[in-house]
Amino acid sequence: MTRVLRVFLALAAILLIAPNARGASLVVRGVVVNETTGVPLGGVSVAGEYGNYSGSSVTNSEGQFEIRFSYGSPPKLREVAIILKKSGYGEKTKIMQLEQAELRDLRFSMTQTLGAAALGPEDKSRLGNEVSSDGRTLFLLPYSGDGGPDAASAISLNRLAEAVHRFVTADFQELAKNASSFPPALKAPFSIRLLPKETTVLSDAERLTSIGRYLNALALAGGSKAVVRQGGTDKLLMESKFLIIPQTAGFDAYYLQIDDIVPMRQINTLKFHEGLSDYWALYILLAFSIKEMRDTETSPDRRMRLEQIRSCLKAKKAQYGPADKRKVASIDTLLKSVEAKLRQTGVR
Amino acid sequence: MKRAAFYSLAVLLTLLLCPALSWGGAAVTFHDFRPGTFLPNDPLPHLDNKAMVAQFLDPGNAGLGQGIGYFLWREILTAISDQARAGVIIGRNEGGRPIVDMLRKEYHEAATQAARGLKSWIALWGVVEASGDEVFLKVYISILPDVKKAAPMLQLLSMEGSGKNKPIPNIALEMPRTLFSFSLQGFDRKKLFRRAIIARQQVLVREKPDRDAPIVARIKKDEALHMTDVEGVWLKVSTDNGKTGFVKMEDNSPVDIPGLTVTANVPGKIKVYQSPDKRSRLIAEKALQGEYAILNRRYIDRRGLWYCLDVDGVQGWVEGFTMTEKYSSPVVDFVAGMLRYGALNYKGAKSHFQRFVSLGEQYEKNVNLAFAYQMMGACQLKMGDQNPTAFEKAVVLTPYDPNAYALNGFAQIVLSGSLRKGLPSLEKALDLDDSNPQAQFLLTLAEQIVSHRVDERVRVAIRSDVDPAVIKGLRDKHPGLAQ
Repeated sequence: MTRVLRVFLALAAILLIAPNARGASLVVRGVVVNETTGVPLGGVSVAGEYGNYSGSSVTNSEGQFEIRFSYGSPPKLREVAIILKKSGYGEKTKIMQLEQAELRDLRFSMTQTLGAAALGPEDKSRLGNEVSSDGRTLFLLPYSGDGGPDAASAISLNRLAEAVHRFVTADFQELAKNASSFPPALKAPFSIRLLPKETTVLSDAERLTSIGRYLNALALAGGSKAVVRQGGTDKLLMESKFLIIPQTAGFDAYYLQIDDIVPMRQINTLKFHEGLSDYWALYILLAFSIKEMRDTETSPDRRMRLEQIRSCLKAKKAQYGPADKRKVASIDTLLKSVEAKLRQTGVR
Repeated sequence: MKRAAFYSLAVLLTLLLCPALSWGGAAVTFHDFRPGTFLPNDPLPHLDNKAMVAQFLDPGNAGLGQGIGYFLWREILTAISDQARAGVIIGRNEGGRPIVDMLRKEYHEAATQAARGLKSWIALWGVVEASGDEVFLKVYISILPDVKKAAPMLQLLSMEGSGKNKPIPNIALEMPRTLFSFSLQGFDRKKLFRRAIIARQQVLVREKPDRDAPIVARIKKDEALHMTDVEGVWLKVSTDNGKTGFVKMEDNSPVDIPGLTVTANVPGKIKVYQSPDKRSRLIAEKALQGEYAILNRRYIDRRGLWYCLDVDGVQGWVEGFTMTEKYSSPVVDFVAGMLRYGALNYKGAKSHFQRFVSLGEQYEKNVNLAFAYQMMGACQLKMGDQNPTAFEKAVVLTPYDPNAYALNGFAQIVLSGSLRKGLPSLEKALDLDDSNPQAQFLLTLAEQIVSHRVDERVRVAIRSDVDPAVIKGLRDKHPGLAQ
């Protein structure tokens, strides 16, 4: 064989082999959902291992992901390992036997750790008795005061809880009457409970979310307060954070803000909650709506329940005047999401 | 006939006739109440146009829960004292579960249930708290349109024939809102309670708020006492000769509680008489500016309502129709307006709603003001006003409420007889919520009119002056509508 022929044969062999080496790939596609609720989970870190090859992806808001492994020669062990990670959920590894070049329509579920990762044994022992059995509880955290010794005792959370409960229940009853249809879940009783004094963690959003999940809360609320003198009158400045705990696609746990100024002499009267009341009712309504949206994901009567939420939100919106644009905007955000879900059901 | 026999017959006849009489502002008591059931001894069985006032919740134990309930009950009664076929009852439960306990847990549901049990179509309840010299009231109202058959609604009337001016069946829009929470009101305690109260019968003033305490004064019927405060169900009072004591508020109240003040509602000079009688001596004739405290108030058969006022240091009586009475809370006007509407007194009802709006416009919720405007509009329609703007004001106050637009659109169509006039409001209502029943009703009516699928009476009353394609376009634009 001449030298030229040997080189030619070598090149031909490379060219014959090359397509295999260059084009071999494995595609893994699937969706990740919450094991309990079936709600798709966005933001899940998905890592895959195929022999010595690896790939990774992050799920979108619909919980979907895709990983592509490109390899030269296939591994001997025809197994694929998928590792799922998300804050607040237990890490999960799944091994699958590979029988074809693609793995499609996979469905993984993750179990919520209810804050276990972020909460220590002390937290759990302190909060263990407070866990809500039905997820219909607003937990009030003690307000941190920086306005001097009087401020600490200035606010009676029991009074606030009682007033908010009355206001919200009466408001829901009004909405139920005035809406063309109304979610039955919002007619059921809900409760407001005070958390122990040591649970002052508002600055740590992740930890607070973990506590909310551990407690199976509808929402957590708390904040800071200070006593100031304005126009010759002592006033309580309150900055309240309202954290909605239930999640659904497009709505992770998120904070809302309530600012208020109440003359000190009114803090133990009805006047105290009056300034806050409508925001409390609105935010509790938003929390219930998100919870209801989440609960509809696996419900056979999803369409009807979504329409009830839509109707209820519109009835709340109808209460507002021209100056209430901020409140209307917060309802509209949720309404858009409900409309989108209704379109997905093929109804609208 | 012997005199004794004559009197017996007279008493018998009176007893037989009594149920047939129309009662103006009747005050009664009731006892056992079981939720969801009609009382066997309905306090005003002849009357379907009545309101119930419940004891107020008192979470801070201010000792005012019962007192405020009584207080507002008497004030509403005062506000409708000249109105036949209307009544107010106090919803207190003496047996079984106290109504206040039901309200504490079930709120509107409890009020609605209690009112239904008493065949009242309006329930007023609320919460009271006190802090130092201030008293705070949060008032709620629940309306039960089904209890009173003639609940507020806008109706299309027939234009001709034997049924002229009679409602055309099924062409009507109900007032959709039935539960209300009113803005919190704060009062200076002294100003709220300090006023004249009038003895309805002989009143015993006791030294202490105790049924067995010594009597310090006996006040004759129609005489005034000076109320200074409320303690539980006892009114703290003083007499003209300086004695102080307590009068118990009871279900069959011994006293009437007038409003706080009156203002003149007629231009020019007003005659002030020495007694509540135009034949008595005229002691002054002058224009009355500002508010006047009511020193006494008396309704006299065939002579009407009279107020005793202090006019420049001289006490005298003025005729009631020249004055407008101001009550503790605009809510009193709201309830009085509903009751007068229920009694078909649209002029009187409109005045109350007008006052509610003017007193509450600075602080009351838009949604409540809007409803009051809609009620004013309904009254105007009933009175034949061809240009009521009240419905448009409701739209301005609640621009996200599809019902406000639907009512406005319907009123425009009914008044103008033109379908086209109501179209912009209909479109807006559908844009806001195409599942809204009022908007859907209006759209269906429009479709029937343009396709001439309507009763002859409707065809006469409303012109079909809109291109059918426009109406079809509205339906196509709103996929949420049932096809």
